[in-house]
Amino acid sequence: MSICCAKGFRGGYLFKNIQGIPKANVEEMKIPKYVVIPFAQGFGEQTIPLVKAGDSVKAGQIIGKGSEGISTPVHSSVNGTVREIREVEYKGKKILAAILDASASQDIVLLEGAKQDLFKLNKESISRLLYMSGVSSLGATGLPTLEKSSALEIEKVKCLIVCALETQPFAMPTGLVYESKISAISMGIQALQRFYQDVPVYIGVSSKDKKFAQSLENALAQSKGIAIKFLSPKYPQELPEILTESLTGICVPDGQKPDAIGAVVLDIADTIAVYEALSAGKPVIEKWISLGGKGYKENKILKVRVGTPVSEIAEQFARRDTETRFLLGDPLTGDMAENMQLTPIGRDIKSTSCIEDDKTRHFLAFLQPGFRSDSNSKTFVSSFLPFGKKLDTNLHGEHRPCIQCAYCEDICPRPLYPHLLHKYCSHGMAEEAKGIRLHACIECGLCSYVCPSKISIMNDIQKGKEELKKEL
Amino acid sequence: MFRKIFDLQYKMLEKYPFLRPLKPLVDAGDNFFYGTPHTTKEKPYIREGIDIKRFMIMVLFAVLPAAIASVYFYGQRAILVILTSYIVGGLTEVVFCIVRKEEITEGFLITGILYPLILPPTIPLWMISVGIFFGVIFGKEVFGGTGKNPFNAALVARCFLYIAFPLYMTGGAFVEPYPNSISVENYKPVFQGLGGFTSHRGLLSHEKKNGKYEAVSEATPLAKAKELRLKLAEEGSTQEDYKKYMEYVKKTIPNLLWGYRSGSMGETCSVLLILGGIALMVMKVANWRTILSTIAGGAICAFFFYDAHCLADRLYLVAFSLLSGGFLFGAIFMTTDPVTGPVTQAGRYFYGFAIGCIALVIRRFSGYAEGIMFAILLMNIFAALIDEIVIMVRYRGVKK
Repeated sequence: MSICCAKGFRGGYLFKNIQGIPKANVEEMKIPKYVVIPFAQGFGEQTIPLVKAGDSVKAGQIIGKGSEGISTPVHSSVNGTVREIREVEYKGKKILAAILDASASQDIVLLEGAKQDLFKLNKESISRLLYMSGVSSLGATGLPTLEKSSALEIEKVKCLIVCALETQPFAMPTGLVYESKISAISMGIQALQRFYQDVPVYIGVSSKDKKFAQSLENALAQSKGIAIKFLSPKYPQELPEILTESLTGICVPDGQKPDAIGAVVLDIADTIAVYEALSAGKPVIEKWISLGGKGYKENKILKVRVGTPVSEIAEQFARRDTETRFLLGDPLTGDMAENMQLTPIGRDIKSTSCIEDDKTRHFLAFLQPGFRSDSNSKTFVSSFLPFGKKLDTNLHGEHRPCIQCAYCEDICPRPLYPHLLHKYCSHGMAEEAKGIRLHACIECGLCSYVCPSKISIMNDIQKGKEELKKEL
Repeated sequence: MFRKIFDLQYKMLEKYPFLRPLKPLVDAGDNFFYGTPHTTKEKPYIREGIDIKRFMIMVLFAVLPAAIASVYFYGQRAILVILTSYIVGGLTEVVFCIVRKEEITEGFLITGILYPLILPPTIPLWMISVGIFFGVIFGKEVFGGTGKNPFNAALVARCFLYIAFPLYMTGGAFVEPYPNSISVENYKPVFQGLGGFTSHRGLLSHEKKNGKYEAVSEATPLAKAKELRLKLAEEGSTQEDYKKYMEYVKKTIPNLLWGYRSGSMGETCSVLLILGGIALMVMKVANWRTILSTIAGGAICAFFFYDAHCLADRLYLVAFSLLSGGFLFGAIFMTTDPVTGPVTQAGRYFYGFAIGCIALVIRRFSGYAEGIMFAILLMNIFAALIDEIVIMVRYRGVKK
């Protein structure tokens, strides 16, 4: 086994010196007064609720299980009672969720059958533990088990991909955060590798995290078929399609997820969840999320219970002195929470961002040297100076027609012409756009970010895709 | 304080409905001085700092040294010429935007300065007005305004003048720069004085009573070289003629570099143009692919088109071709107009290369001394076709 550098991908964007990057200290958040548990978290369809209003539940108890399609059980993350079951909006979709009033007790119901020595578990019990603990809904397309928990069947798994880097603007320092968890990570990876009949494992580590990669290699020294590769920390390296291609060299077909080529893509945090589920029977009811952006008082890692409403987080950690905007996820792909009281932190959320809502009109904005502006072009002084750059919600310019500057083409991580897709899709010519690989777009959001005409290219592309879906 | 002026203007607009059509104008002024108050409404919720204003203003900064050089070489008249172009062209643009009820865009900031810089220094002011009026309307507005024009508006304007008033655009229209500007010795510039900064020779009208210019008429180096080369091609040309030709080429190159030569106002000082071009490429405002491939196309064609007795002479001719006339100005500021060029990066290589080649073909094989203008306009037409081919080749396996 050796650490080598993986082939890069074309395009992409390196976020450098951004203000508001979370530090590596982990803080545990108190159990909130109530939690919102959507019945579909991570990969899979909505499960059937097993509780009704007024029932008392325990932390770790399964409150939703089974559906016609692919699903993974959903757990209560607190001890308390069910207040009501209602529809909420989560990640842009309307789904049922249980609202639970929580008590302060920390007890968690653990699953039975877990063993400290992972290698003594047989295949059936590993599968059961992964499924019942909710781990099988993690990752890009879920973890295949003997149950129906992933689009991929267990025999068809060809490789396991572990993403140990973040490249979004407010990327957490993965190496520092997970340094203390290396043994858990390595055990989790080894157990999964064994579970999937010794498939090759690829671990992508940021080329900045040399030390972390070294200690990971030492911990995994005995296993075979595990390759740790350095990846350049260009956004969107962490998106599953790009990650799969850079690590395995196999392209994911347009419009499909990595499961199309038999790859199971996991985040590094998910491997810890695997380890905890197998060794202690702990369900996924706690989550590490990063707090990024200058809208927070302090940027750090937060350990929260799954289902914590984002309003609680915003209230406790966001700045009060300025208007801020809270985003569920990273600033490029994250959704804005419409109703913060009813928007929870789900199992599949890795990060939250809170950015300043800047409505001030700067005098002669286009002539200012721009010490704090981030830009793909090198027209700001900040490109040549090491000052921290600020990201906010201001548009930084007026809407203009596309002038075909081709910044979006330079930046696009896929072989696409985003400005052409925008032209076709915004004029209702989605069929034409299909001919220039509309479905290859992975919606990383970079094209909209860099557009000097402030066109929402990604939004147009999404609309085009929806239009095509309707026609079918 | 300054803010209050705009607030007052908006109040006036509300109060008097008949002023309403002027809203685009007030908006443009307001947006010019103050950044946007708008925030993102769609994913992603962050946007980077650059906008079209900054994008365009960087081109303006890059061309500014050349504009200042034009004042230095041809007198304060150059300022007047640039102002005329801005005022007349700007008004045309504003009127169109008011009629269409559209926002006024920044594209004209560039057209307005590029256009006068590619005109001869003696051009009458009324002609400039006619040219830019025509260029803005038929080069841009009839196609739907900024972002939709297939032709470079500045070049359309120049082309119109070139064909309508050839006497004012060729031959005698070009004059020597001020003798007290610089002289070039052995590739080094020697500054002689303030040049045109202090002179207002022929400020309003360059013509004198009996049709002669006040300044000394001087054929452009390109025209002279062409004349010498044609003499060479005639029957009975001698070794002496060839020597004369090469001597002229060698002697002129340093002047071409530093700008002491006759030519269009902004294209003379190659050093400043190259600096501006490098700045644009570093800032990613101009596409390096187009600039470099244009220069490569020109260099390769010049190498094969011009006969010389030895390799060194050939290279001198290549350097002469690239530095003389409007080649550099065209390659750096005209071909890189993103709207009129191809939209694909791969297409840009081909587009630039073809412009370089066609410019040299026109120079070498046609009656015109200069060809870059026609080359760019010609390739503007083919830009869409190039894109089509690039996309066809790239997505050949994709099912429709």
